[in-house]
Amino acid sequence: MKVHVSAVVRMTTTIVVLLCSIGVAFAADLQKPSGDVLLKITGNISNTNSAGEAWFDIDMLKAFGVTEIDTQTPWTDGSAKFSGVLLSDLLNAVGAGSSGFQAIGLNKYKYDFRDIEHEKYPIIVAWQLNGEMLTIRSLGPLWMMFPFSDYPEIDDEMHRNAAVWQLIELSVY
Amino acid sequence: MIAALLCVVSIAFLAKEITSAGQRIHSVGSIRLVNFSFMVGRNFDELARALSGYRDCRLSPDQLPSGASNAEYIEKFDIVWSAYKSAYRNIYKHWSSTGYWLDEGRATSAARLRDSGLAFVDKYQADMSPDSSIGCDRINKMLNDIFSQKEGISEFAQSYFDLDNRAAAEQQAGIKKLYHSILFLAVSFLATLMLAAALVYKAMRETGESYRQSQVAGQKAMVALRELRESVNTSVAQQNFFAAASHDLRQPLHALGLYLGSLRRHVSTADARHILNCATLSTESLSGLLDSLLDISKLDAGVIESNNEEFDIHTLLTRIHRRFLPEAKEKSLELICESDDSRVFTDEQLLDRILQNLISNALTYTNSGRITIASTRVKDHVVVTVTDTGSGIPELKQEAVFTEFYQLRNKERDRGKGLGLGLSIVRRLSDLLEVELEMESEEGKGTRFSIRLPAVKNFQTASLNKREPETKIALESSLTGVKILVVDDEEDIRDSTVIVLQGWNCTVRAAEDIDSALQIVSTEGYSPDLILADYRLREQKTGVQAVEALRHVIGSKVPAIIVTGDTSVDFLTRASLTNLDVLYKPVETKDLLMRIVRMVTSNDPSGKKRLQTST
Repeated sequence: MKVHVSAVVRMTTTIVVLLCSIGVAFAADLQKPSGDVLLKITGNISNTNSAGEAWFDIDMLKAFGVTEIDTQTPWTDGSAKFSGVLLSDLLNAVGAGSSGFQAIGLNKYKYDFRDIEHEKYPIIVAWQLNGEMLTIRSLGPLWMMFPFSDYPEIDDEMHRNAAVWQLIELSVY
Repeated sequence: MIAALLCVVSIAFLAKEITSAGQRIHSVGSIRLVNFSFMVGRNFDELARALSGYRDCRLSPDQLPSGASNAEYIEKFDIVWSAYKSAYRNIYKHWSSTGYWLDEGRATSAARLRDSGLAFVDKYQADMSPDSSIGCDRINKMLNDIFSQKEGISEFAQSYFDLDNRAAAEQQAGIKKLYHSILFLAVSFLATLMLAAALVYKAMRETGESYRQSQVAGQKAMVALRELRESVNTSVAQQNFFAAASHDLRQPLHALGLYLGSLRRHVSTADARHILNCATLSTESLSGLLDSLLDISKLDAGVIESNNEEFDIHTLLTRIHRRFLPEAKEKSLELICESDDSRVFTDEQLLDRILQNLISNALTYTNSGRITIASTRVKDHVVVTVTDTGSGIPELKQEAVFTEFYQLRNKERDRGKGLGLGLSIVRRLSDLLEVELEMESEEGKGTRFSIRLPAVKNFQTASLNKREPETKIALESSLTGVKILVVDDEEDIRDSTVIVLQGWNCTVRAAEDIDSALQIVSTEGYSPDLILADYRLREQKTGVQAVEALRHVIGSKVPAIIVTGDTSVDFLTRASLTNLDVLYKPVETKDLLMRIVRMVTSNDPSGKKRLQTST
């Protein structure tokens, strides 16, 4: 009887350890941020690095590779070159359970991306404008940026509303 | 339809208006203005909270986590700063470009709000260095400014809410109008549909109704047709009845008349002569009734023609007077004849018939007083009047008395008063003669009938009628030796006819049917000068057939007279077609004599169809 009990305990422990090691193995793909956390991806995601959330500092974002968008915006003078990470890369990295999410700004502004077909366009989460790092004062430190000039069909009020500045969080549905 | 058209136009207009209102709402909502304003307001709130938190920490330095709170309010300030310095610029630009919804006052206040916000961030920017230390007084001042900024933002946002609401209200009103228009359209369409349906229904119902009515009318027509047919049948039956009745009645009457006529020659005493006269008179009156029926029958058949001639009115009136005198005396009535010596041009026999009817009517309806027959010359006319002091005819019934079988005051249908045909015969006869007939009557005082006859201007008083008896004797003697073949199936009539004819010294042979008549002709070699045949013979044979057969055997067109009691139109028409002379029963000896004389002295075998007279 005793033998049996110890066997069950051992087996259970083994399973738990195995499950944990799998979780660690997946989580290991998403390293923990070392610097200031600029972006949190929350909600329905499978890859996390902090209490069910995926936190990113600037180095982690830059690690995805830099994508640039040259576009005119109502908020900038003349042509502006934004540098950042592809939104799709970010969502893939966190294993987003759906394509729908909410973008939230520092100023509490929110935009529901289920309203737009964001997968169709190379949207970036920009951290740099014309070679300068974005700050809160320059509507940073992260800015959801659309290639308005390359895709005239999205150069409208709705997509401008989706260009959330001072971006701090993506909450996946 | 016009209403529907107007509706469509107004709906189109309203839809456009609603779209524009919707665009305004969309513009207002879409530019995030209200959101932005609230956002900035919230940013100010957070800044204020951070500042007040920092200030509280400064007031109780024990709890102060150095530097941490400083960074927080600086971040909040930066957000506010970015709102004014970076975002506001764009938004204001947008407001200006879509100025149609932004009136000048609002644009000014928006600009002022922006300017005050920019002034705020500029004013406190120096305090936001991480190294600088901000004092409590400064913080309080800043908080006051934040509140005033927030107030401005609230007011501004509120005004946009109002605008938004107004646009929404406009849209709502437009939608409401649209709804009403569509409702009206729908209702009018429905009403039209219902009206159409109602009309269709009504039309169908009317059709149904008219169908039903036509059916009813059809049924009525059928009934009317049947009634008509029945009435035709009735009138045909009536005529057939008349024909049959007058035939059957005439047979004995005819015989009686012939017997009485031949008896006259054998009567010598005055008393016997008187009795004979009375018997003759009754026979005549009896035949008068039949004559009435015969007259109507023949008048309706249209076979009577008027044969106008000149004659002395005095003679006619005197004769009539004499005829009715016994009857008048019997009723203790005065019968007066006041005639002038005018001559008239009309059909004497028909006029005689008219007057006879009028006088017999007068006698029937007059119980005391007198009846006056008079003639008066009035210019080109002679007016003959029959006036009585009888009961008169009520005004309402003055027209009705001229219809057949109409009798006043004879509910018992006393046949002694006739059949009620008198006046209708008079009316028909006067129409036939084309003379004016007038009636004046006053109930209780009497009736006057006036007949206006054409007068003859140069008249002579010579009276031919006075020589009548002599003429008659002369006529009788002219028939001596004339061979007459009588064909009649009724023994009484055959015998009496033979007696009469033999009285005129004719050589008479009689046969009861066609075969025996043919036998007399063929075996005895008897060649008659005249055939006198009854129309109805045995075995459905007719006198016409007898005459035709005899003429065929003899080989010449022997003059022939058909004697008949049949007054049916059918027969009369046939007789006139076969060109035979016709005598109607009862035939008076005088008429028979005159007819035979005319026939044998003339080569023309066809006689004129004449109205039988009883004189």
